[in-house]
Formats: sequence, structure tokens, C-alpha cells
Amino acid sequence: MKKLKGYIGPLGDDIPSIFPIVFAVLIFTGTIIYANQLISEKARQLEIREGAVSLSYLVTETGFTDAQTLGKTCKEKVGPRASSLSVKYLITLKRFCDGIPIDFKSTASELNPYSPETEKTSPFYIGASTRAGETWVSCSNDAGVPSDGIFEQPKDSVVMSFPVAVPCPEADSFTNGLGVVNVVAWK
Amino acid sequence: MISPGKKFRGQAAITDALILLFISIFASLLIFSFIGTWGEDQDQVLRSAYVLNYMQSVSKALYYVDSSTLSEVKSDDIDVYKKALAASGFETNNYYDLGSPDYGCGQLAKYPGTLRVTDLMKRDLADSDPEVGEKPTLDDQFGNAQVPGRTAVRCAMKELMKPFAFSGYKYYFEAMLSQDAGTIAGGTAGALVHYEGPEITNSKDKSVVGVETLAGGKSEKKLNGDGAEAPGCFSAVRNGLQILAISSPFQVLYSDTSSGSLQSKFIKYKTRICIWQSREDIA
Repeated sequence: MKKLKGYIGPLGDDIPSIFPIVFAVLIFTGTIIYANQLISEKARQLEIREGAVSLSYLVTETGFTDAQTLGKTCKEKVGPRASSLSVKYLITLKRFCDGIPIDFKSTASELNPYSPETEKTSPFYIGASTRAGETWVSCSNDAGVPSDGIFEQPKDSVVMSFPVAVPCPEADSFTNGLGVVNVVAWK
Repeated sequence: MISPGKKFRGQAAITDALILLFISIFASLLIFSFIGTWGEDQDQVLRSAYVLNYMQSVSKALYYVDSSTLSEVKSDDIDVYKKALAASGFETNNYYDLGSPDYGCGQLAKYPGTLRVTDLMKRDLADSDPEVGEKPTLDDQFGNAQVPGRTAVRCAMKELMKPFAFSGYKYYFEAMLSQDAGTIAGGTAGALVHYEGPEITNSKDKSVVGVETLAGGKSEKKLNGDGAEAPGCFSAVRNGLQILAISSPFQVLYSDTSSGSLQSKFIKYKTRICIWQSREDIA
């Protein structure tokens, strides 16, 4: 029988084709796994954002709020809604009777009229102060949120701020001035 | 003897494998292209929902904030809150300066108690009856008396829109008659309440907000100087800007005693706030 040059048998001839096949399978499988991770991450971000928007509708139902109203809204509406959406939240209400600050970290009066109390004007500052610029009232469903002081911003959290009318110039005034309610949501 | 099919079996196998590899790479590229854009529309919708909810909150807050609490608002040396926008550029004009003691936010201290921003705005509009052809204007006047309705809204909007104004967004606040625009002479443009003097905006785009033509005074705002088109949200749309807008209805009580007896009626208006991303501060 004539021996053909280069012919190494029925299986031996197919061995070189194994490498591109394995490479193709690896590429495709890797892409699917990576795509799945990316889509899951994006979906999670969208769920958090949707949660923040959803909760914000509840706290901005009316154009006016005070400590008592916000506390009641948190307890009766925001908490159950956050549970159904499986998101954690922190809501802080601030009275900005002297104007709304642009940069919470700035000490320039036109950017932050409440300096040097810069930390206390942050949306993440927890407190129960009746002073303008500071957190008047807050609520959360996360046990990790401190009862006083700065709360470290959670990873992948969404922060939304909305203007509301609040009692000004004092916390028990009959007249209303400028305020901001901050909604922070995360998972 | 080896058949021709067996002769090329090795080459056929590697060709199939290479084709599989190319298909795999192509499919991977398609998947990457898909996940690159996946969720963008949802994200855009949610961001728009946030902006719209913010603007609705602004609109609601105007009905609760008392005018006197805005008396400390200043121009912060920002041209659009301090100067008149003329055809040649910004010009010093007291009517436009929010820090002016006579025409700025400081005059709101004269209105203590629970007098809301919208109460003053309604009073500003209550001196004309559009049904008999009197054109309502936001001019800080009720007849000949000074009633700073426009200024109150301007001061409130300056503060309430700060987060967006400092992020490159421009806003425009306008009032308009809420009857069907088709029944109002001039259609939609005819329904708009015109401004005499400062408009409630932070835009300096002359093709959207018009220009001041009366040196040192306050003229009715018109585009192109000929009054062919009214400034406002429609002008922004005409200029190709992508706006988000919200409207809110309100009524103004108009009273007339000229016939000897008191005749009152409600006139329906609506406010509209529009916002758009702008590059006018960069250009």
C-alpha cells in the first residue's frame, strides 16, 4: 500500500483543527459569562435608580414638608415601598432658609452660605438639628446608618435632591422658606 | 488506493474549525455591541423622570414658599441675575439686578406673613382681562402699584434651580392663558404672558429669551426685535433644543369696578417651566 506524505491517520489529520475549535468555544463562553455579569450589574444600577425615583415621588407628594410629616411618610409609605423594591434608603431633610448651597464642601459664602459648617450641609449628614443648613430630620431602613454624624456613601448608591418648602426662619415658624429633601438609595 | 474525499479530509476539518472560530468572534462582537447599549434607554427614561420630578417639586414649592423668606437672595454677581441682555450684550440696569434694593429680592421683605410667591405672581397678573383684549404682562405691577410678582418668582427660581443651573442647564419660566390656544388670537404665541423687563430665566441665548431694547428701562421682550415670535420654551424648541417641560394650572381672580358695581371672575392660566442642556456658557 502506498504511504501518503503527511497523512498521519484518520484522527491525526484532525488534531490541528482542535486548537481553533477550543479557542472559539473559549471566546464564546467567556463572552457570554462577561455579558451576563455586565447586564446583571447594569440591571442592578437601574433597579437602584428606579427605587430612588420611586421613593422620591413619595417624599415630594406635596410641596411642603416638616419633621413630623416626613417622619410619618417614611413610616407609612417609604418603608413599605422600599421593602417591596428591595432597596435601602436614607432620606435627609434640610432647612436652607439662607439659600441653597451649590457646593457642600466649599467655604465660599456664595457657594455655601452655611460654611464653615460644611460637613453638616452634606446630604449624608445625620442629625436632628433645627439650625438652618443642618439635617433637620432623617429616616432609613438600614441598621448600619449612624444616629448622628456623617454616613459614608455606599458603593453604587444613587443620590437625588428635591426642593421643598419648610418652616423658616425657625423650625416652628408659620412662614415657609427653602428646603431640600435628599433621597439616597442603594442595595 | 485512497479516495479523493479521504485525501482532503485534514484540510476540510481545519477549514471548518476556522469558520467556527470566525463565527464565534463575530457572535462575540455582536454580543458586546448589544450589551454596550443595553439599558441606555431605561437609564435615559429614569434620568428624565428625576429631572421632571425635580421640576414638579419646584413648581409645587412655589405655592408654599413665602415671599418674605426670599428677601436675602442676591444676584451673586451673575450677569443673568444682574444685568439686562441687550442686542450688544449685557448692560447695567437696575430693573434686572436681584441685589437692587428697589427692584431686587430685598423688596420682598415688605410682604411679611404667609404671602406665597404665587400669591404675588397672581396679583401681578390680576390687572388685566384677556377676554376683553387686555394683554396680561408679568411686569411687577398691579395697575400702577408696584407688586413684585415676577421678582418673587425670579428670586425663588434662582435658588430652587441652582443644582441644575450650575450643571449647565438653562431654564425658562413662563405663564400662559390656559384656554385652548386655538380660541386665543395669535394661537399659542398669543396665549403667552409677555414680559416687560427681566424674564425668569438663566439663559442668555438671545434667540430664546429675546433682548432688552429700551436703554436703562424695561421693554416688552421680543425676539429679533420685531415681535414676530415670542421668547420662551417654544423658541427653545424652534432652535432645536431638547427641552423637558412641566405645566401647572392656576386661576387669577380678576375684579372690575369700572361699571360702578363689583364684577369678579376667575381667569385660567398655567405656568410652564422648561429646562434644557446648554453649551452657551462654553461657546
